[in-house]
Amino acid sequence: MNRVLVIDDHEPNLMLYARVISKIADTEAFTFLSANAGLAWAGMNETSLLLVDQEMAEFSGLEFIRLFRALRGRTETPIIMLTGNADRELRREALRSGASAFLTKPVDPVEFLAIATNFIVAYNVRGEAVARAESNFAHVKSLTAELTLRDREEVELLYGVAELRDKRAAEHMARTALIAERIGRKIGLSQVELEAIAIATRVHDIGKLAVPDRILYKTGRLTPEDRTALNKHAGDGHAMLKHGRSAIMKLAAEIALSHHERYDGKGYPGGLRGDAIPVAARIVGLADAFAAMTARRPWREPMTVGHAVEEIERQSGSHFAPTLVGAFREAMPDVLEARAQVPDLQPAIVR
Amino acid sequence: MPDKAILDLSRLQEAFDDDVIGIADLLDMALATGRKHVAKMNEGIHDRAIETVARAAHGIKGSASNVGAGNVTAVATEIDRRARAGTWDGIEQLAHDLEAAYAELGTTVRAYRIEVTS
Repeated sequence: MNRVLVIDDHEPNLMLYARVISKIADTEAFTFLSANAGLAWAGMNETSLLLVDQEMAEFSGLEFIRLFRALRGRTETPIIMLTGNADRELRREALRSGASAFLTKPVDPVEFLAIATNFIVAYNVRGEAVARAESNFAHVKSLTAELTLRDREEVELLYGVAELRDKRAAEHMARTALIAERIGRKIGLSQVELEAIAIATRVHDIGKLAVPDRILYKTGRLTPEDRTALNKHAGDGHAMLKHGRSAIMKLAAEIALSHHERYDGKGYPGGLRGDAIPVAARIVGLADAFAAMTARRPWREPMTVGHAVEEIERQSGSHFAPTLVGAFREAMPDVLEARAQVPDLQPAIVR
Repeated sequence: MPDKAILDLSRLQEAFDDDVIGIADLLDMALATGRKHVAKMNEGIHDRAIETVARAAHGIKGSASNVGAGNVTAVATEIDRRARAGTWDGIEQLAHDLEAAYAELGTTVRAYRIEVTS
């Protein structure tokens, strides 16, 4: 049932308007002589159309429109101002205040009926469109959440495998993911992108599952051959992840492949330079380096945060993109908070 | 049918269709409300409160025009115009004219009710 709110402090006018409105199918008029009473009703009831007189004892129609528009959910309700005053400036002021149309008394019942009907129909069509859009949005949101959950499950499955092999190495991936998300936030990535990076980075070193134990757990100095075998983990990780169909798995594959590329092109495996390195991989490369520098290893003590930051800044423009280093520095409080979420309690034995 | 200068029913008939009793009821209400506003206007004249006069005249103008009361509307419009301009010139005479127009309208409305109920 459509409800039309009518405010006019002359009872014959209310009676006439209500009569015309009663001709509109499925529509009922709610009439008020008092502007205050009408406003109170409007605060509690949905209305498809407001008709309001300009000159009223309690306050003006213009003021009523402003107060009505300020009510929750009343910004789109059509409003017709009815008045005996045809003043051009008043009409313009009414439109500026939020009136949709302006009718001068004496009201022509046929014209009034047509205009009121059109407004009610348009309001209902708009309402239905909004409801449909909201329903579609909720559906898409729920599907997206479901897909994200599935993607996360796939990543977590792989993370679980990595964790079984070496819990500390898996924790390094988790720590790196949180730090990368904080850096990404600082450079203005969207919430969706941040969420994707936070998930995908949790398997950025998954390729190390294919690195032989004798190299991965070697405590002595690595030979050039060892280094070559170790560096293969980037390509191997990509090979493990690249068949994933979701956007997050594709991102995970990209990060796994390129997170050891360097800004100056001296990284591996592709020797990519500058902007040719995917942005997510650039971010993860920096986060990975910071997490590794500040972690304890069997063959060395962890760097202090200050020293690690200095080292990263020293490598700005060579290893890391300068803009990213700036963002990293700015994000430091968040980075430290993220790092503390996965504390490095025992030395990792993996490289 | 009433004299159109006093009461033009064409708009009300479009709004009420064949409900002539509904039209008569509305006209009765318009008369009663009009008398209240005339009384308020006379108070304003007595108190020399021009805004009160203007507001009452404006209200009468709007509702009288809506019901098709031409003579009442014409006099109320003139009082409204003068009062808003801040002049008292001729307002007392116009107020008398308004009462006369209402008396004429009352007679017409009573005749209309007799016509539609007989």
